[in-house]
Amino acid sequence: MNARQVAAALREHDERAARIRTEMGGTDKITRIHDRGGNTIRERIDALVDPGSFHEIGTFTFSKRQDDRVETPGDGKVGGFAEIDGRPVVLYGDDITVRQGSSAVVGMRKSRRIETLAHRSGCPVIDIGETGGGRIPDILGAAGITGVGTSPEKSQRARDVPTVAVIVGRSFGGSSVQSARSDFTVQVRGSCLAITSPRVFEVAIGERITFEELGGVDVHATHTGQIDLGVDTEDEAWVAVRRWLSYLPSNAWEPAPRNAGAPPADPIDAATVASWIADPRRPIRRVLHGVVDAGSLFELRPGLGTGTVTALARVDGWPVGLIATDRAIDDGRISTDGCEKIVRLLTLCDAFDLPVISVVDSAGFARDDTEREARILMRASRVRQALALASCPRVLLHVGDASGLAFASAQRSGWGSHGAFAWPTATAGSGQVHDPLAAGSTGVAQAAGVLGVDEVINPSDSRTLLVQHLARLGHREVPEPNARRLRIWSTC
Amino acid sequence: MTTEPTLSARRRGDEDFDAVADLAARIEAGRQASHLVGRRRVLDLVDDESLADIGTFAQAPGDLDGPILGDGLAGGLAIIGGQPVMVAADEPGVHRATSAQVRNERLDRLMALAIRKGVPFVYLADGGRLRDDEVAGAEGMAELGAFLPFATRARRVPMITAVLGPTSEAAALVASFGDVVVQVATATLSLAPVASGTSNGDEPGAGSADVNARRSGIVDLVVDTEVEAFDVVRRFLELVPPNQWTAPRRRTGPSRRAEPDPSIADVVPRRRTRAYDVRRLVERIVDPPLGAGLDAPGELLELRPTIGRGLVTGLARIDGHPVGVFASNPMQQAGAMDPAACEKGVRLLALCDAFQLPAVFFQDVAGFLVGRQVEHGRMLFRAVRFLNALYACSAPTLTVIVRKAYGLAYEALNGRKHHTDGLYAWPGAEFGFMDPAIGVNVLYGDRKTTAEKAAIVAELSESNAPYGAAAEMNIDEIIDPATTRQVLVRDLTLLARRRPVPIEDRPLSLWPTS
Repeated sequence: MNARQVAAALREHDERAARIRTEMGGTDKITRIHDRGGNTIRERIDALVDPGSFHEIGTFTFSKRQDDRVETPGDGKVGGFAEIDGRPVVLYGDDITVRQGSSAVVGMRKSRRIETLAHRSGCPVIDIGETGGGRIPDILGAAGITGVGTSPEKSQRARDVPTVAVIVGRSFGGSSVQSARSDFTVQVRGSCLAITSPRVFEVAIGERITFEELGGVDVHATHTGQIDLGVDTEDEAWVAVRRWLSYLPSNAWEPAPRNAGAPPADPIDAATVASWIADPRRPIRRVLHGVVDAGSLFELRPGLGTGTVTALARVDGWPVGLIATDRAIDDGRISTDGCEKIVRLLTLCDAFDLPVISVVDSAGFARDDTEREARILMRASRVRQALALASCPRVLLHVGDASGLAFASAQRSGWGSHGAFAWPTATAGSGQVHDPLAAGSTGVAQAAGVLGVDEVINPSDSRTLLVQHLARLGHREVPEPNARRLRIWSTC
Repeated sequence: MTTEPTLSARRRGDEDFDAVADLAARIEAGRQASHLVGRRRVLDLVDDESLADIGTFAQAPGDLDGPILGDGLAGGLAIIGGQPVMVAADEPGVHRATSAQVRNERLDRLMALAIRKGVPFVYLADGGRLRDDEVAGAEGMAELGAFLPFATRARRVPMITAVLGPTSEAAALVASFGDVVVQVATATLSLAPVASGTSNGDEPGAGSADVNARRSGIVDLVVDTEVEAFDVVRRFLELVPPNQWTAPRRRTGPSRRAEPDPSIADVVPRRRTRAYDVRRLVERIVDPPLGAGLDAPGELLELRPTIGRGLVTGLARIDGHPVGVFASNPMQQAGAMDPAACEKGVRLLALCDAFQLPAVFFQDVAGFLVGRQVEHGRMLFRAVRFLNALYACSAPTLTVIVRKAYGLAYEALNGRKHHTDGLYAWPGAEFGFMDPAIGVNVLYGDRKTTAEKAAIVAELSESNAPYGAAAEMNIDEIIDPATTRQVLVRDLTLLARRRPVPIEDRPLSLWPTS
């Protein structure tokens, strides 16, 4: 091959790659997507990652079926390497211009390969999902169905890298399974997340239901808890993903990225404490905004188990997990959904060694009969087991009441906690005092008397104390990833 | 009781033989007190003369000069069926078995000792409310234990709970840490105490056996009497190893006739839509009870039989090898799995992984259940949790596909070779993404005539035969149904010799029990 031929071959290659990437499964299909205000998978990737940082792999793949090769550029999946805020990620998504983004052998091989590369290179993995499931006719027959399936290694991943799913369209197959295996799932309004399409229900059991009713954002955000965040637009989803990743290390063996930090939006002083205590609702977010860096509070599953707040945040630049109970809702009692939120946050924080700060004002766990199918015992028990097994630093800020079997009790001084602090006005007790004189005071000073809390503090010092604590914890010996026991708990 | 041992008598006991004898008599008198049931239950459960109490003198701070009755708890080391165990029993006759500092210390210590000594733990629950006069305040609460030995047990030793009376709060939490929870029908188990006399008679109330077994799924078995509960405890302990560092114990000797059994195939109806109870299949394959004869029906310790009924789970033996059984039951919704079926599957998988009991799957599954109710009941999460548990499970797994293997459920029930130590199908098995009769309508809707659809169904059905999967080496062998047990016995014999999996490589050991 002479130089001219080489140049021609390279030009031809470039044109071919550009053609595959711009024409995808057909310009008519791209036009249709644009006409309804949608975006192609490549546009979505570009919108999510740093400009110009996307490097695709598997561009030249196509279906294993001879007849389909021309019509299946990329075989329904697009993905590769990129950067977000200058940090490497790998990502992939369903390409609905190619057989509606359905999953077949080569496309699945691609997404699996990309996952593998993420684990091998220690960077977060993101799936942008809208696949209807396995491709017809590829998966038909005994040979077809036994030749495809989910990736066992995804089930076994043990949170070595942060895993994100964004549900952007109708998702019933691999993207739904992947979302359930993710550490953070965002769903865009108008999409549908489920395991089976309503079209199948209609045929199989005669039940009619819209996509929105079955698996829309509202259903999952307020009822099933199968997503962490529902957003109205794709652009909001990209912001949420970038933000979530900003709190996490790239993998389990690197420390989480600290930033310059910022003073709290709403510092706690004597006057705010007085008015807070006098307020029967005792709004817990007021306390949170008094201790975390301004603008850093990122609530997870905000529409579910609303009496319990779980969030990522920063304190003096240190990324932390936050668990708080909201007195305004059922006296801060922790519901089954609240328990699930707590367990999800603890598993994430344990896997990536983020300190967890608990800000507690709770009358205990929810009562059986007001809860879904009396399952509060199981979920409360799961919270206990998670707290007992977690190795990430935990700091308790006991600001209000902590009665009965409130989860606060499992974090006090000496029980694996890295610091337990209480405001002088805090109370603790069985929550069923019939004769207060016989039982002793519920004032927290009594607990401090036997070192049930490490110190009773002036509320105005809460932030300073947390800052000092986190700085100290920055020097601690971090358990090896394999020693963090919650990292192998299921994501769902 | 005529005389009661006093604190001073106990102190003198170290040096004064008569006082020791006197003390022994007084302890015995305390134990015989007619209102005490906890220790008597332990004696009923364990082998004769085998109980060695631990913590006899554990008394509430206010009781030090009173009778020696334990602080609402009885228990210690004992033998059950020849195997050492640790037993703890709530004593409702003393402080109503309420939760308080010393009692909880004793409970925690018994579990800590069980783990140190590597013996199974049995908890007989009957109490658990917070002791108002001792722990209601902040100081009392601060001194109360957190049951850390239970919460961090990580299945190093097995634990079984029998709920024998009204059980709530702290005792309910401890109960929930069991690998298996059996509840007597008259007892209650709930986090918040069940107010007595509030049940309206028609509707089973919170904590009742009915709610726990059929709706919430927080208990594995409901029995009518304590005697039956103890029988379940003994059967469970007989099937699981005493700890994670002891291999499962095979029962030697003839278990079932060695020849192939042609009648096995008859259990599964020829007509593919006909329902049958998979228990009839399981009992042809697993071992009969000891002494019942080689042809007697096999014995399955079934768990959660009244919830998630599309999947039958339980413990059994096959040629003496203890195994976990996972069998889809076409009696229920064509064997389709609902969220509760997934949860009970996960629970047994965790036990199998922790103690290296082979998991044996019998598959006849139409898929995961469909519809609004199950989707909104977190079908996606439960199904994927099941998959995650399956693929995390380090115990040997074997699968026999007896009839249908459809959709993602086919994979979840260990249908893919990547994770299976033996994957077999009967000749009449069918594999597909969806039942052809439904699939054709999903694929074509009204775009084909009825006749065209019938032809497509026939075509799809033909391609679903197991030979297509076998041709691609996606199943190991198509076997004669009559030889099913022989194939499993051969594999289990081989797998029993494989290199032991280190305890730290059994991830489900750490999964929560609840």
